[in-house]
Amino acid sequence: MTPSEARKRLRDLESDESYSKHSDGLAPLADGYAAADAGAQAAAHEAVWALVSSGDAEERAYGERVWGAIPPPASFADRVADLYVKAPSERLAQLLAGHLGASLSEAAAERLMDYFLAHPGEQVKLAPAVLAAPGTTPEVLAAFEQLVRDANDVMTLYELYGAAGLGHEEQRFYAACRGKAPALLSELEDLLMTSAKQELRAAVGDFPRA
Amino acid sequence: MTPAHAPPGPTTGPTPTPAPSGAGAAGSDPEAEWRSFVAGIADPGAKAAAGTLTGGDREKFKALNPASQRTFGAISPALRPEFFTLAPWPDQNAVTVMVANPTHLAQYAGLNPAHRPAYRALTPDERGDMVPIASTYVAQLLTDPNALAEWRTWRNVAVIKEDPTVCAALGVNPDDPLKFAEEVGKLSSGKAGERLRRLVTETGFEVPTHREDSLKDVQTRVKGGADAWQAMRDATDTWVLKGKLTKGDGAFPTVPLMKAVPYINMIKYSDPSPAFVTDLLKANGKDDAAGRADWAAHKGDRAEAYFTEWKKKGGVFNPQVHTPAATIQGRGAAGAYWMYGGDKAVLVDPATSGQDIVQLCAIEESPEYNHGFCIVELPKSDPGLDGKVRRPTMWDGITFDQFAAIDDPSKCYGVTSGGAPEVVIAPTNLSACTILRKING
Repeated sequence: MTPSEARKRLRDLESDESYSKHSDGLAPLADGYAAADAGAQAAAHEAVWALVSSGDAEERAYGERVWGAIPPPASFADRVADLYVKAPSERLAQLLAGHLGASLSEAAAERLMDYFLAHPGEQVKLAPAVLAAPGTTPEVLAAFEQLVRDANDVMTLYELYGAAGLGHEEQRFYAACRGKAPALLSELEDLLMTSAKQELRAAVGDFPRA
Repeated sequence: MTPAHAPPGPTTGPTPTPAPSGAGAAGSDPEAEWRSFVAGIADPGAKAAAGTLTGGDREKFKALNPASQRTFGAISPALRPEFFTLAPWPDQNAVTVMVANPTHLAQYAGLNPAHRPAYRALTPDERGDMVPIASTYVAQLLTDPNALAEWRTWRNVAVIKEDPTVCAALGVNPDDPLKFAEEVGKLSSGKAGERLRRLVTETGFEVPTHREDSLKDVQTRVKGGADAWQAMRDATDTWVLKGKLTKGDGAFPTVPLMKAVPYINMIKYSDPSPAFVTDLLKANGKDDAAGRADWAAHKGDRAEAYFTEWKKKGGVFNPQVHTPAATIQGRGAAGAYWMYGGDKAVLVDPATSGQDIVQLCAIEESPEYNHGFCIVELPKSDPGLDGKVRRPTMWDGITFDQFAAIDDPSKCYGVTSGGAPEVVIAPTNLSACTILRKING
């Protein structure tokens, strides 16, 4: 499927009625997708795959945005992981966090973890994916802990908090947070639900609000 | 040409009405409660109209969104019972647009009620052209789709035959009127009819020949077998974001570019941070493999309830951290509409209430804003910005039925029917924006 055929396939899911109701440009597509049968939904994901895997930069960006609105099914996990290894992007890393990461085959997960260990500059973005993946290795967990210890801004720390949640490694995360500046912990606390705030304080010890 | 109105929200569920002053103080006395509610209505016309209501009409009025409440106050008492029965979108909105043009509203009020749905479905330009027509012919147009299609064709014929450049582009000869009408008719069916007229009269392209080029593109697609409206939809991605650059406006360096962005759209249509998804799932007791698969498959259906529950459990939304990948976007490659100007000082003033901001930004009809939203600004310090901000052309607004024309070819920005300047900008990452204010996160 060419990118242009892919775009037409996605456009054909949109209805005029739906388009006139929404302020977000992806809403009509999401509506059309939700109303489509399983075959049309699968065809839509193949169209998105054509855009992200063989489109130009703008087409790939569009495809990645579409998958933000209608996440790909688990069957795309290995393809997305292998595409990331060949042509990394932050959005693909984010897609791999959660159900896609958890659905990777052992071989694809291993390739992704090797990539993670070999590319320190991408580790923060990729941490949720590799912690969600099956068979997370001790090397990956050690690298993750180091990332938490090194984190000194709340955006990074929050991403790593998410990775910990995906890998059920919350206690490892909290342990690595001990000793961090109260100001940073306060910023992190502001992003969390009440129960997670309590968990954070219970794990790292009480800290004064900055 | 530019949309007459900001894209509205879905029709499901009413927007909460303004909080009445002293609400609740009236206890269980319905009459006192209603008086208190009416006293809290800010718009004088809506307040006066509400004051006349009795019985079940009071609840119907309360269920209207604030924009429709104002429209209710602005229309004649004879139209009000019917107005209650209309869907918020598109029907009540169409009446709201008519209120801005008393001539259209008067024609609408004088119609047989059975003909009003077809009148509401017209564009403002079409309504304008119906005003001088004899009422019997108007009735025929509103009841006979073939007659309406023919009328649309002849409106286009009238415009195109006066424009030799367009005639040449389409390969049509006004000296052969029947053949001419036949060719124009092929491009004028259904919704395409009005859009063709907009395109022929469009003066906002950066490269003027894009008007003819895009016309030829549509004609080629129609000759290839596409229906005219489908041909226009398929051509849209090629021709959006081709309007004049707004930097040509002398005030561009100092005019703020702002937009109100609803939080729930960021969650539904972008990819939230994995940490935030985990917390949304935890807040709803769904943080397991099945819950994650369900979220992936039904995100659009789950987002509102999950977000509400997360907020109940102490979550406070921070767009740049919780949804860092959020994009402000139109369909496909299309741009999103932004306010060009607007009173930034008022919008960021903490004394300006969320309800006031909703009105200032013309987003009252959009329930998606009820879950909280932020006002963002594109920093003028972005060195590439002046190459991204454009006047909307008909291609940027092709899906909007309620259009108002911009006749001034020198204008570098569009204007809504409410008079607010606006521009289109290609999909923009939230991370490139400055958040001026957060409301009800």
